[in-house]
Amino acid sequence: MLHGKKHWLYHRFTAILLLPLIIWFIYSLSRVPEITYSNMILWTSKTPNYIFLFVLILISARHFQLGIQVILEDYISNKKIRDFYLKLINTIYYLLSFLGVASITKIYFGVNI
Amino acid sequence: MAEFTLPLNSIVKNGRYFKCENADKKNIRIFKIYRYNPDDESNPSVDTYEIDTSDCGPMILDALLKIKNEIDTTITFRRSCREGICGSCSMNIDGRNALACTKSIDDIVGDIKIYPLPHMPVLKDLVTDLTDFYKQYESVKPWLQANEPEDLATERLQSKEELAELDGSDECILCACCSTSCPSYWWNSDKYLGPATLMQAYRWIADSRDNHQKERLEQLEDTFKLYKCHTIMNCTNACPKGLNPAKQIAKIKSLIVENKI
Repeated sequence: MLHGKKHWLYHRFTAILLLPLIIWFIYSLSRVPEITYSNMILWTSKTPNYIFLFVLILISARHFQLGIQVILEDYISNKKIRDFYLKLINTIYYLLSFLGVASITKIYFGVNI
Repeated sequence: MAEFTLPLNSIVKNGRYFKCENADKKNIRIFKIYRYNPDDESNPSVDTYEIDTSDCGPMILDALLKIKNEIDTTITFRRSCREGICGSCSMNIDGRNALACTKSIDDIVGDIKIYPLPHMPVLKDLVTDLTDFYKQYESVKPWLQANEPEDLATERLQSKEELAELDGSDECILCACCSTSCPSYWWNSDKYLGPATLMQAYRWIADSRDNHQKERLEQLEDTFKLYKCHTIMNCTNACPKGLNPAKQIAKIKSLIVENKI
């Protein structure tokens, strides 16, 4: 878990990186003719989409974890309770990252192999 | 956990009404002032005073002094220089932290509501307990830390440019208007140093005569002490001296990164 300067820097870096990634995400999805299951499988299986989506999932999950950490530190003054929720949110972050990345990887390699 | 409900004694009730007789109605302004006496067990109240502004100075402090001298001697507040340089008469006026001595009565439309500085323990009426605020100020060692010169007769000189680095931070009068307007300070006032203290910390970090910049920055590199500033900017909005504490805090954050603390 990051604290102090590192947390502050990572939070800003992830925010800056998310900006172009989200613009790409919206633009790229808008070019899909119809949002259907098969179209989305096809969209994810394209290498550039897979790479960008991979990075987007990791960075957005990290940004989410860093943001929730700030909220917990702000509002929970009891250190024991705060530490419990911080660990919980950290676990959720790793879980979300893994699930997201594993899902798109399964789609990508499932289609391309 | 954060407290989302208020204790029963925080409910503010309507207090006494002091009517002003024999005055032209167009000159009368209504002052609603927070009253709390720790010696009786009753809840805080808001007393209402009618003030004849034709027989009163132009500032809020003038009206408070008129109330104290002529209407209700029990009202308690801090004041000293009456010209915006001591920071004693800081209070919440019309929903905004300000100095009573530099806030004009005419600047406020409608009833004039005066409360103590927000989220601070109230000692009596408009007087808050600033003990922790001063302890935080002391924690940043607000004094020159420099090696003794070889020749004691040597002065520690500064160029005009070096002195200019202190502009915007050494004018702070420690009135606490900024810190007590900061929501982050309300939530974590025991751990977060607050804008006033951080601005004073920067004042010494930026001082060319000081040799302890690295130690000062190391001391501030902490999740709570410094990084609880979320750039809300209430401090800058509240400062009665027109300073920008948020900018000085941002400079500290930059210096910590630049100096690889």
